[in-house]
Amino acid sequence: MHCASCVTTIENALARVDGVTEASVNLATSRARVRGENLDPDRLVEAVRQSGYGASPAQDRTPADDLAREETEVRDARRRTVAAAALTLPVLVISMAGIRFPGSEIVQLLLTLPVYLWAGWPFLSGMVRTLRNRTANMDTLVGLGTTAAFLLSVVATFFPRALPAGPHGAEMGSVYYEAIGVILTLILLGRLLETRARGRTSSAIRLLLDLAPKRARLLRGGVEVEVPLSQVRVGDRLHVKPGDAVPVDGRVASGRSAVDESLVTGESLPVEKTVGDRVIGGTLNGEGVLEVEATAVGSDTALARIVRLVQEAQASKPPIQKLADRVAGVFVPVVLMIAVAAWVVWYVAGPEPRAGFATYVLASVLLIACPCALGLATPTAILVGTGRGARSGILFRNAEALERARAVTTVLLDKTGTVTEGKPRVTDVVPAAGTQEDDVLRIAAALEKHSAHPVAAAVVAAAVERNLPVAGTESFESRPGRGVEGVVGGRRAAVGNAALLEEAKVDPSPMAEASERLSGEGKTPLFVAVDGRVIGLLAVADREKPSSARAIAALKARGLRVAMITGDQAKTAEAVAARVGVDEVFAEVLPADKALRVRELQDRGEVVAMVGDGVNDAPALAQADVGIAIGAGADVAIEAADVTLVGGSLESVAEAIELSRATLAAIRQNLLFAFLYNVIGIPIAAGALYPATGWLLSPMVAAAAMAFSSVSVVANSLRLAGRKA
Amino acid sequence: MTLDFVGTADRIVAVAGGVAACVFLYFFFFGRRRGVSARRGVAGAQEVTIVVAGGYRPDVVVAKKGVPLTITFDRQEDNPCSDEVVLPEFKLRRRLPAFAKTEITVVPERVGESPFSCGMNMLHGMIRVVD
Repeated sequence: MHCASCVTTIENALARVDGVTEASVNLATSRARVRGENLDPDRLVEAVRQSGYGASPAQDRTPADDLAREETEVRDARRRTVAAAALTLPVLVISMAGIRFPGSEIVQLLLTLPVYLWAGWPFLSGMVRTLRNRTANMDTLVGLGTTAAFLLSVVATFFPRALPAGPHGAEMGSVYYEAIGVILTLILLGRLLETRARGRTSSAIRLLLDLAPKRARLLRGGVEVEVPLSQVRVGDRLHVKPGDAVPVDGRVASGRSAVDESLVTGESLPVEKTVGDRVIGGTLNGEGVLEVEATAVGSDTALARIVRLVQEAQASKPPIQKLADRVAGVFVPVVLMIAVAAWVVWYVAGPEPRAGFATYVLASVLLIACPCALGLATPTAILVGTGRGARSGILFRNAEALERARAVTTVLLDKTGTVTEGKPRVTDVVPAAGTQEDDVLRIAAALEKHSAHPVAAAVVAAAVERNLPVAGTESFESRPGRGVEGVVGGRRAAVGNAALLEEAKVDPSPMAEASERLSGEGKTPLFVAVDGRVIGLLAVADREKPSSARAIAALKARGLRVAMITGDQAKTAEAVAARVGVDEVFAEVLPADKALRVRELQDRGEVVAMVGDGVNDAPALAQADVGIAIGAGADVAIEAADVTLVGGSLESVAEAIELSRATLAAIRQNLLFAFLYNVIGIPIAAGALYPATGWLLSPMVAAAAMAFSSVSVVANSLRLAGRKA
Repeated sequence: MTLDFVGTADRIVAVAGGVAACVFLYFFFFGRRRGVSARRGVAGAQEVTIVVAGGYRPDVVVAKKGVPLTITFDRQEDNPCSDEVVLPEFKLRRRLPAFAKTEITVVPERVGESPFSCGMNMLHGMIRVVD
């Protein structure tokens, strides 16, 4: 495409395709936008080809596009910086060495003109654009500051008598060409450094996006075909060779291999995968070969959801930013007014040459003020902090959650699945006098097979292990927090805790002693009753995760109180708590009451982080100041959670809180620096120290300070990326 | 040193000019702006194009509650100041490539003012949502 007529030709060709209602082609971007119904991309491409041009369906902008754009920006900034420096150097030498020759000022003007007009073009054009929109930003300040200095110098060059000379005549009344060059060189250099640093602040997202391979090995009728990822559909069989990245989320259909999930979940050790196991797209296959059936593709994959969650968090604003936002919104117009006021004061009451002096001050005020440091203070830290978290499988829902996590005083851990592995097993079967072990287990399994509770699965598994025939049930009822009831083989049966027995008016005393003993060992006793009589006891235990004790110690080391909440009886819960080092235990809490307990802690003045699996803890997670869902694996983005830990390790909780603290500290430092810098810098530039000390800030120094203030804010935020989460 | 406060004509003019400039700056930047109503597109969605060049034009968009609103940001510059747009209420932070159009569709659910800005909150715009 070369011209507007090419555009028309292509637009007409597209408009003739069936279903197209509107087609517009952009010459600058070489993109066509087509609207209509039942559009087929292939037919649109064909229509363009037939009109004599090439086309392909547009892909969404990739991270590579962003990178290329950033590189272009950096290249352009570098070219302008180098040119400005090269042209400014001779002007600086002439001015500083006091070299005078006929026409020396004209030579300086000629050398400065391209610096002002070409190197400074981004600022000049930016200034014009902002003013046309009745807004203002850094460009407005730099553009106005350098233009004021430039115009004053041009007047001094051609009409030296127009500016009265005075005691400071040599310094103030003459030209400022070297100042304009130095100012623009420094600010361009600052912008160059800032562009580079800002690019790095979003590198975490780019790394995540890069995890997904571009192509997949699709198995079609037993034959392997390599296809672009966009062609993979749910249900497709994919071949994953050793060292390949798993292309999409799926289930292992055949094969066995250790898969490295560290980049997605933060889990450091490879996870063994075999038939039926779920695999996450973007994770790295180890030595084995896997055949995977795709279960989620495109934007439905865990990786895509993680990226979306992180991007959403990065787009949100923490409450701490509100003040900065309010200041940033009026900052530049207010600085312009201060500059005008300073000019008037120095023109009216300043030393001669007043006009030169006042303009010198005006330029300094415009150039020292740095709205960028203020504007970058929070977003860069949020970008880097959330990105750093994502690299370790810690996903913050929004910036507010990131801010709140810092203030947590108590961490409340759900026991099952959080402190323990969440895979309970039957450890003991104790029959009552006159009953067989197998009968106890058989009747319990008959009822429990209808329940979705993890304990139920353990009972059924134990029955299957012993090859017991599991009887049918005529009726079944789940009693949350207590157990299950129903009719088995025509007899009324119940499996559950002491509360359930009490409700059913069954005397638990024959098994009370055994129950006491097993609870003391940290096991959960389940009474089995038939027709109003206890026939035995099952003990179920859930192993603590190997990392739990270490993780809880890490939380306590950070000055946090750690409590555990569970539906288990007090003795069982206390045994587990003692082994992992928890301070306080809330036992025998019904699922629906967990949120109440969180509320009680909050009423005591605690800022509570509730850690649970996010499924049956949703109300408690929502009630907590910070709800943390752990072990989400492929099911990221749990609605009720403020923080989602993709991996299953409890150690990530301390990391998340630590990261929140570090990010908030960086934001505070940035904001403090940005505010102090402007609050101190602007009055000094306005000449506040001059009456007492005779000291005036040079616009060159002002520009240098401005250029490096925003760079230091970004650099401070980037420190977060390097820290160990 | 001594400061010379003797009033002369040029000083009076400077003071008057300075005051006038400050008043002008105030109204120039903070004066009330009129909004542009989004128009109904073919599919029933509301549509508006906002030119991004040193600010947003128009910078106030009036949209109906509950109807999807497609904003086409037409960024006509490569100044890094406007390379991102943030719509906090809709949890959106989007890169706007230079000299290209970027479409963003949101559903305004809350009547009132929903601001948007550049990544640094220097350039401002507003979606005014009406019933």
